[in-house]
Amino acid sequence: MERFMLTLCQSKGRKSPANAAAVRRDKKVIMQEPSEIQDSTDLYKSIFENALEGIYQSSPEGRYLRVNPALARMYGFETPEELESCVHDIPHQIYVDPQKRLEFESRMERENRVIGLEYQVRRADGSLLWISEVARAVRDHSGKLLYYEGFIQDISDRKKSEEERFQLEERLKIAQKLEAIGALARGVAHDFNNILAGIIGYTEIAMEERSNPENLPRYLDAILKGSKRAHDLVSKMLLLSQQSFPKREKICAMESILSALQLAPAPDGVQVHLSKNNNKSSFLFHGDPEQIKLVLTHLLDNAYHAVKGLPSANIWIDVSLSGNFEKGSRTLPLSDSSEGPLTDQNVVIKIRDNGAGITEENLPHIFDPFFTTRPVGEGSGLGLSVCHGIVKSHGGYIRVQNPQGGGAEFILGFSAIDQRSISKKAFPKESLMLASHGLGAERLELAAKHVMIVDDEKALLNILERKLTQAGFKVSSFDDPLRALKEFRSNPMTFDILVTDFSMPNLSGIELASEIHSSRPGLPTIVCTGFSDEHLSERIGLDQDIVKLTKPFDISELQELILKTIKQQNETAKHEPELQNVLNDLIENI
Amino acid sequence: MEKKNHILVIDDDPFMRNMLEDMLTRVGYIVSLAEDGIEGLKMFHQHQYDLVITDIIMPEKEGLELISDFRKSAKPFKVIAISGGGRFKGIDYLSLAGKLGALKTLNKPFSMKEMLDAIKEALAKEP
Repeated sequence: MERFMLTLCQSKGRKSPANAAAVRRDKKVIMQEPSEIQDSTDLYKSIFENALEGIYQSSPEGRYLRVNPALARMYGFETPEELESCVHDIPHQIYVDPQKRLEFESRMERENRVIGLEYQVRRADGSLLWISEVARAVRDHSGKLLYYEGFIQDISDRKKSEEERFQLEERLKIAQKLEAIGALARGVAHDFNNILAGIIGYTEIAMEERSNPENLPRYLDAILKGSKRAHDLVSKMLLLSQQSFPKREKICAMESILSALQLAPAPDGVQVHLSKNNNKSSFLFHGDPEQIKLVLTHLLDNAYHAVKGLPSANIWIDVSLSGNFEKGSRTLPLSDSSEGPLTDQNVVIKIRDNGAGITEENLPHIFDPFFTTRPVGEGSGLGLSVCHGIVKSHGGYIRVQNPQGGGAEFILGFSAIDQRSISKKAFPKESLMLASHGLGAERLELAAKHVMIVDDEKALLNILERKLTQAGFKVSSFDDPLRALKEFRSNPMTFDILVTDFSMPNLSGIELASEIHSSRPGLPTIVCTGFSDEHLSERIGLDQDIVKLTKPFDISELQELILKTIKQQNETAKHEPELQNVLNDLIENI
Repeated sequence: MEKKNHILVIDDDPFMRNMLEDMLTRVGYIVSLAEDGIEGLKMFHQHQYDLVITDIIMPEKEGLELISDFRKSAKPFKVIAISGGGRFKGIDYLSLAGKLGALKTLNKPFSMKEMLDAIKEALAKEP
């Protein structure tokens, strides 16, 4: 034991940052009377022997040099000697997860100490124990590792209660989920019963109506309306379960708001103020027109409800563009890649009312599925969670705030379609032709599409990215398919086409494409491959949205194919251009 | 029908309200409509009705509260409570309405016969 303590003292003298003091202390020890030394040694010995924490020294090779009785007890051995002699490979005999030992060693290598390292150890009888460790590495003059020494604390009780708390929280989450599903089911049952009561009632009235047959059309109309309401309810449910995927069409925000106002007209006494911040813009974004209308009517209904009965009831709807399309020359992004790809711009729709606002307490929960402040309103009570789901599936955002001046404000944002690329009115024709590098004006509409390129060969990826950006595409490139997939999932609606290499580590181009198509069916996809493998062609053939491009290809070939593929897809869902122009004109005149 | 009975229908769902109005007027009742409990209570105090048909789960003032308010007033009243059920787990609102004094309770959806029979029965009872 003396030898042990002496080593501790010596090593302190060498290694401690408070060197001078330590040396003085050492000298003092040396100068002490033998009896004092004995006393001091007894004191250390007593601490070592009686400590409740485990104390050890161990060799870099993984043997215990010295352990105290507390550690032996903790690890299930009768005596310290038993533990010292039985364990000759600490990483494998003591550590449940030898990886943790590597972490221990690498931290010692870097920092010379570990503080509060928590891991599981295996006791003599095979049972497991959670411990927390504080230890340091002791080195000689040259920095060579001599041994480790440290303290071990049994934290099994704490871990057990943490685990119990975790399980309890998990059970609570499940219970809340079930409760929420229950609430949803009851809400839907309630609404369905209401609708059915109306439908059944009118059907019976119609069947009995003999004296006034002129009333029949009215009854039948009511039945039809009730049935449509039931259908809407089912649609909302499906939306909520994300079973249906949004269509992708060009949507004009003003047009959408006007038709929402038609569907949900303001009640008597409510003033609706519609404004837009830019007269030249028609505020276009991609999405499903019906779903966007649904979101807007929900928000309008909420606003109507908020101002109901107020002496001065006002609702303000404001449409604007936010972002920085406007910066720089209008043709630059198409003609000169040095300006970088087009920056994102959002169509922002704000709906504000002068009602009571939303309480601070409710604000964070307002979009939670099934959250409702009312026992029951009109409709299903699914409103805002459905809105949230829709907007999210469109890659947009929805926010709510209590603005200064009172009331509540809902803010919707959708990634805007860059109108320079679609509105020929915005450019002189010459600059269009210049900008397109000889691509026809018709093709220009297709350029500025967002291309996702995935190839594990970085050199090729860089060339593709540069060339396609020069041609006017917005390009996001990835050398790792998994990263590409992650990015896509977080923003599924922003990409117009996927161009991917076939053979890549982690995920093949086909696997990537099918993953992406599972969340966004119909996204045009080009898979580039050097193989003319029948098996591959067969697999590609299974997915109609995948086009194969055989390597080697030149850039213009790829460019042509991208344009063609997107165009084919666009053809299927294209607006009548004349109608669009009429609408644009109408909207500009509002 | 010798004397036309006057019935107040309170339901937050317009489809339901209008259907009941059609159903009851064509068999000779006079029908007044209220779209929530607050409006219903106001009308109850202002006019004399032979019968009130009220939905139970409504925003603002729900049906049970409404029936309690009727009881507080000195006015005699007869109530039929109707409900689409659901919404609140484990609580049978209709049976509570019955305990509070609703003469009849009906689950939605109900048949025309069920409703008309319930009305006849309620009207025949002493308030």
